[in-house]
Amino acid sequence: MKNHFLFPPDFRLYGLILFVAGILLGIPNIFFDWEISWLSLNTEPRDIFSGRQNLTNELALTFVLIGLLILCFSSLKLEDERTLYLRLRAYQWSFLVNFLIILVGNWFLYGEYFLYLMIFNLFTPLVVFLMRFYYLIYMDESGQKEIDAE
Amino acid sequence: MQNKVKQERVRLNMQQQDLAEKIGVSRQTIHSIENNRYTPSTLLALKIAFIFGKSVDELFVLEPADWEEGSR
Repeated sequence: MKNHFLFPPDFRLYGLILFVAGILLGIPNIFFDWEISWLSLNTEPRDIFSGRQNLTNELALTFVLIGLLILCFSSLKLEDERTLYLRLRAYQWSFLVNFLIILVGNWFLYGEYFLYLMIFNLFTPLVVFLMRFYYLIYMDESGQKEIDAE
Repeated sequence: MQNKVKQERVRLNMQQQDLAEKIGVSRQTIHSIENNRYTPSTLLALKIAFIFGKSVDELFVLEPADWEEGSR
């Protein structure tokens, strides 16, 4: 059973590099207002994005999202129907966690805090999928070593 | 579901890796099938049966619990 939506296994490294670059760019930007000066734009006041804009955060978010997408959609060295089945189980989890966070946030967070939650919740489907998928692979392989040892 | 993949593989003096390569899956998949941790698709079951020169229902046998699972 061939999964046509997967990149070759080598792409995992590129995804990881992009993700780390995005994190290294994004964290100083969010917490210390650090910006790359040559990414600044001066827009006309009549534009929607009036005044000075800097594209550092846009670049960081793009790197993180594309990096995570590539990591999620890169095949393992040997991809077969069992790994496809494990992927499906991980997708179910990521979907569920994403909507549970929205549900809980809906009741307990208001105003800008809810907005922040929604921004961070952008990443949860991809992050939860990766964690769950590699955990399932790890559990499957460690379970096999136990059986082999018996 | 019970299966006789391991018995047949051992009978033919075949390693898990050999069988995996013949049918284009990973060794872990063969291991999971043999230990009833993963139920193969029809296509994979047919390939395994072909390699062993058996029919699918000789290799894979339904248990009463499988019927209960299906009726849920």
